[in-house]
Amino acid sequence: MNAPPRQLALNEWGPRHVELVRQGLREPAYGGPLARHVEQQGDVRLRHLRFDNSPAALRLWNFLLTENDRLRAARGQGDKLVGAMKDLGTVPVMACALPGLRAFYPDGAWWTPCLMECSDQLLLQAEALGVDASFCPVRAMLGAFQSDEHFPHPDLLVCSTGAICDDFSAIAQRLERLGRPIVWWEMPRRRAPDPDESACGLPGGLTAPQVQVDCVRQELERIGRELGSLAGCALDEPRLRAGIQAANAVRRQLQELRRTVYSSPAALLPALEMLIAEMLAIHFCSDREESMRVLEDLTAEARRRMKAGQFVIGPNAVRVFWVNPVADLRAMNLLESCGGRLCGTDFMFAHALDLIPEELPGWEALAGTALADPMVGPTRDRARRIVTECRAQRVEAVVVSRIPGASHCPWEGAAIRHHVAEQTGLPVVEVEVPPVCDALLPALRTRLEALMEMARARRAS
Amino acid sequence: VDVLLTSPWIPIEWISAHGVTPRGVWALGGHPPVDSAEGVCAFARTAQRLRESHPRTPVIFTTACDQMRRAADAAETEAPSGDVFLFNLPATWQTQAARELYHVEVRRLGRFLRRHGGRTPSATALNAVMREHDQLRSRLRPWSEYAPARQTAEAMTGYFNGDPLPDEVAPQPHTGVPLALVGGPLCASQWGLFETIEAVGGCVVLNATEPGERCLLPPMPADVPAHCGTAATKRPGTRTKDVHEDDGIRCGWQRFPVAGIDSEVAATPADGDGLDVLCDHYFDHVVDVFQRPNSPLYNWLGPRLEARHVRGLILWVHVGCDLWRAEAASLREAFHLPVLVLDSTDLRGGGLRDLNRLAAFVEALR
Repeated sequence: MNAPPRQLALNEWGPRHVELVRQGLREPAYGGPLARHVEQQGDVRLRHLRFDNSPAALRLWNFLLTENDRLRAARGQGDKLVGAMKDLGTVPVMACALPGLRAFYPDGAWWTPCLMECSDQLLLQAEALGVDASFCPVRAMLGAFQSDEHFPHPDLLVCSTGAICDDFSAIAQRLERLGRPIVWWEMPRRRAPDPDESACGLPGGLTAPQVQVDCVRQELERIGRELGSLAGCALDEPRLRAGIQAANAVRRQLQELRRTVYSSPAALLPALEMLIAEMLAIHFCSDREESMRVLEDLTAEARRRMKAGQFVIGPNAVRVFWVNPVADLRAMNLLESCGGRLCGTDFMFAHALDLIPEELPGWEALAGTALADPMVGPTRDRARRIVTECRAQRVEAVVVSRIPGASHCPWEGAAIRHHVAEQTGLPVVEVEVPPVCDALLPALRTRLEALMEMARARRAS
Repeated sequence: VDVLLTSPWIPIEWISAHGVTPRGVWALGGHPPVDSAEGVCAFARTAQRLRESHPRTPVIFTTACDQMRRAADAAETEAPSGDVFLFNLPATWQTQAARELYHVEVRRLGRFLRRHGGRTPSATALNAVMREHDQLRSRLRPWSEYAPARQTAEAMTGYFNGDPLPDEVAPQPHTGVPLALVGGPLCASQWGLFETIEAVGGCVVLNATEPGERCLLPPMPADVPAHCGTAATKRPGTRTKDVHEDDGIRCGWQRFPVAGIDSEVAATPADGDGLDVLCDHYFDHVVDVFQRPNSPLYNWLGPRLEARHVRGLILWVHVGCDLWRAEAASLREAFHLPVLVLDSTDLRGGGLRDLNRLAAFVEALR
């Protein structure tokens, strides 16, 4: 079962799956061969991706690609579904603390056009609803709600607003106008406390005025009451604390996985699988307990490979820090084919990688963690954290990946690039990755290869 | 002392009461167009670079949109000087938490102004400034009913720039196809748009851009400060009963649901100082696209579009402004009126392309 690590194309995964089953692989209920996602769901992009060959990676992919089915099954069993939008890691902690609730991110539909290579027509549907290509690909969410063919309709829709990107705010507002009621909650723009203000420490080494933490705490308590009403069971302090502890268990597991993979002398797991694994921190893929097991498997696989001295990418690969998630998963494969390996990330939810303080009252702790979101504060805070992690992981190059149409990218891309280059001297490149990047592959490859070349030249000097 | 202001939703009374002159950036008609990166709103980019043309002049940004808050970030990062103030405008308006956030920000702005040469206003001084501005707005308010759109825009911009108002404006009957101009910032350098619209046979009878008519607050409570609602006493989820909301009902126009609002609940009389009244009055009367939900914008527009017999909407959108652009379809559906989206690529006036598009739009409405 423990074959030497390598990346497989989808058609190679078929025989590999048969072989694993023959060797006694035991899969969860959502398990099975990867190719079925192409045949049954139209996830044709899988044909163009390369996957890690471990059973742990197989489990990860099957977990990700069955989320909609699992949500429908949960509803069939009487669970209530909460659509959490934009907050990236806060509302699911609360929802998962209540019995009979499952939270998921409708935002996740932004990967559907990629997975289905736009055969889903979601972007066209969004355009027909007045949200065109000048908006971020998260507009696919609008089409998904209208088409009713992807995720099941949530029983409650919750969306953070205020210091969020304009694309999302506009798309969510359009969604509400189309008849989907939304419970909005205010997320202030994080700022440094004034000298005469009471300050509050946040995860990630940040600070904010206590008045902002109080504002978010009140808002989360209000959302908590909505969730409690849906669950028929109050989200009280003991339940919330238990939920925070369970969320932290997932975060600790992910921290361990990241530490193992990113600090190893060569890549123990590919960039694509690490991207997917990190995403589990924010939404648990609507099943917190199972996401824990998925991460445990991945960590165990990484440790086993480390012990065996087996790597999926060779030791000469350039150590790259990647900023922002990519709309096309293929871009992560491309990084490796250009000679890089992932050694650090900021996929826009660095706050969800930090532990929620357990020594504080639950609402206070969650509010502080929500305020530590890198997207709600000054870009320089985000850039500083990137620099810190680049130094810690001995990163050699940085890729700032722009999301087409996203309101924050034109501003922060340049700011991060400037700060990182100034503080570290590392080569930095900006790329823009659309939902299907095939047409841009030559240009993307050229930019990434040039970056690797620069990094290797620095090595030599 | 001057301070540059980029939003109409910050109480200029509070700024003036500190002995500081607010200068609305919309008046910077002579400001040259600036280069803009792809996806960056020209207004936000101009605001970011204001300190190049106005060194040592404090600038007040708001978090009304992602572009402006990031412009503030960029301005502060490029030349850290403490001259940039980013005012956190809450997007929500239904909760006590949002109301308190607004109050906190106004008080924080006061501290910023004092650090930049302002003086602490006495309650009497603040009340006097509030009354003065209330009177100025009362003079301006009826203009939009009868004055030419450009003159009204000039007066509105002047109001936010600390300029004296013209004594009087001669009534002029509106001729041409009645249109509403709705959208984001419209700067002095772009006022040629009004002439362009008139040249093709249209007439702007409702200017709901910034700082247009929608930025003009309704009258303050008559008995300020003796009767005033305070942040501490105002019930969460209530907005002061608004004559415009009544208009919506009276005109038979179907109002949008306003979640969390009990329109029958008026401001609660209570003890409090003028600043609380001022904060509540602003907080309760923001009419803008960034609010969530933005039903106050639709509730404000509805009765006016009907009362002024508007036949088409021109949606004025800065390229890169997602918030306004995304409203095109919703506006069309809500008011059953044709909508022409007019892109503003920089802060210059419209060109031949705009002229042709407007001409075709008005011709179709005749």
